[in-house]
Amino acid sequence: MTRTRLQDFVIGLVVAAVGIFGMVNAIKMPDGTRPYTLVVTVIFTALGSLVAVRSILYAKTESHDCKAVTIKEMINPFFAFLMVVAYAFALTAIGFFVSSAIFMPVLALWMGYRKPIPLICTTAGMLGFIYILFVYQLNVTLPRGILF
Amino acid sequence: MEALLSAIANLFTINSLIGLAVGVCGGMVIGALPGLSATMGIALLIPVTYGMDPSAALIMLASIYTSAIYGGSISAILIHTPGTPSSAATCLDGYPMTQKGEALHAIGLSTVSSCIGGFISAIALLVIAPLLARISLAFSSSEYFLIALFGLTLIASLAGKSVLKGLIAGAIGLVAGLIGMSPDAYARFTFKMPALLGGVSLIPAMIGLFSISQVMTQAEERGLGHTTVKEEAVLAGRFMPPWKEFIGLVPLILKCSVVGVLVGILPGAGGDIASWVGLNMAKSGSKTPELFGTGHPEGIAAPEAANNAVTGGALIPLLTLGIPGSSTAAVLLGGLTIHGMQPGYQLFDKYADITYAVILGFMAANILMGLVGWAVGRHVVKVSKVPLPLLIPCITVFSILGSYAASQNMTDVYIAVIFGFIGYLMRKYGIPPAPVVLGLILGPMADSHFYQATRMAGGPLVPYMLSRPISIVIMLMILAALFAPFISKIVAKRYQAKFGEVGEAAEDI
Repeated sequence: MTRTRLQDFVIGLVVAAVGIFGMVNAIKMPDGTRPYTLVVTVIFTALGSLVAVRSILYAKTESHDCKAVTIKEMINPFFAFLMVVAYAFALTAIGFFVSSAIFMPVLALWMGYRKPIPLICTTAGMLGFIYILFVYQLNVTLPRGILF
Repeated sequence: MEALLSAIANLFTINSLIGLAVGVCGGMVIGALPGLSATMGIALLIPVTYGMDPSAALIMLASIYTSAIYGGSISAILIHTPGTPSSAATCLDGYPMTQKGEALHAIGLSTVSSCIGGFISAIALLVIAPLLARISLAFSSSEYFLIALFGLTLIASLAGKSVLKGLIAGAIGLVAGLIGMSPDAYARFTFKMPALLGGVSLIPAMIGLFSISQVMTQAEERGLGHTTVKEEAVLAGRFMPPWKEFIGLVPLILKCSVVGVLVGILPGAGGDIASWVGLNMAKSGSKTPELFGTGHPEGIAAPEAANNAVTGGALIPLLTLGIPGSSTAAVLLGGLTIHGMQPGYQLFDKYADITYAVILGFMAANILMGLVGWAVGRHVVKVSKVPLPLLIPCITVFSILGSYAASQNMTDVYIAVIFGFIGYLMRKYGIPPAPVVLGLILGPMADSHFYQATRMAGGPLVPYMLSRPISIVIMLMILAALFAPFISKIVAKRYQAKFGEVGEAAEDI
């Protein structure tokens, strides 16, 4: 099986598995909820199965709708995602403004940006803009932490 | 008449005027930045509108929509990179004009054509939408359920390269829409987590799918030192096209504007298709077809009038029937719903003062867009010089903030992050994220109306539907819509094959 077809096969299996899980749960639901839930989960299972079957049938050819994905090319995005997750959790711990003031330069530096003045100005400008618009103008209570 | 006067009063409030100005300028910048689309811009700015007056908020979002389509042409002309897929056709004659030292002339042509196209579409919206909305008065739950189904058939047209994967994306949205309380108050797929009882919030999900996933995609460029800019064009000469040239182009601009409106009304056919159709019309009707591709003014005027005319056209089925024909329209529908406005006749009755203010604001946006384009259009392309490593943290912070601000709830932030991850994986594996939004919006609508329609029917649903003429008409529309994507794909491929590989490249934007 080619790499792209293997990817499709795994996607199909995951989708079908989620669909089956949904179907099993839908059967136990009350009358008013069951029919629609069952229809959606059956469709989901069927589509996942179709993708999996298609990837088996055309196992020798490359899929035309996606490229082969390597682990190497996904390392940086996953690391960026972990930083976003850490930032999201930091919001409740140290507050929005402090966590953002740390997160923005750290992400920019990690991305390869090395000019301190524009970096500081961008961070300060962005947070100032957010303060004026959201806190001052729209009265949004942003997450507060132990520091601010 | 009273509603129109209230609408004018609503439009001329300070909030609405600020919304209009921010929408036009912001949309232009978003459109000019390759990699940022109108869809993403609107998704990011919807939370900003949460505390705003609905008229001002919706005027801002509608202005972003039209202005981003125009902004995309600026980078298409100056750096041969279409800022939005709708501007791909403009590259073909726009960039050769830049190479000939006529960049400012090309931007001027694009500005004038976009303004006229957008303005005509706004008039069409003002005239057609209220008439069409009257039809929705005759709808009951059975028709609304079918309308939701009709909307779901558009998934195939938003599918991108693979219809099957597009359908999976739509089904992901439908499954996500199942989470929460069902119409008969059963806690469905909540896994005993109280935070999920309210379901998956639309705005955080959209922000995750379009913005956070984009941040992850851009992280792939880490360390490569890439910015989005290619080279800076020489911007000299006059901006406005000479009077004689303009008069010669007027019939073409008007023709392409009408075509753009019609394409916009068609579900699933957006600005990209309209611009190719417009370009083809210009070439086939031109006295000098051999000049196309060498920097011909007609090659800019036609696609730009057509793609901006799509915006007003696409708002017609959106406002009257709640059918989002494109991902941008789907996101705009989210903007309407968070302000408590459901598409249909009540938009032109109960909320007439707001709706007409938005339509008039949309008209004004198309004029203001021209003035702003004339004043600063030549400088807008400089935003593409902003280094990505500086832009990405701003987008991330704004995404997280946007998902939080809508309901000031950390659960929404986690939803945005999770959908960002899912969206990134979907992009990598060739599954388009736009149909998820459609599924997420229309799924709960189909669910609740299905529940009500079965109770109204008091027996089997299908015979009940077949006894209602409007239901039968919508069923026929569903059948027609199922074939529409195949036809529009054939049309798009025909034009792309005819005009070269720029259109192909645009699909990936």
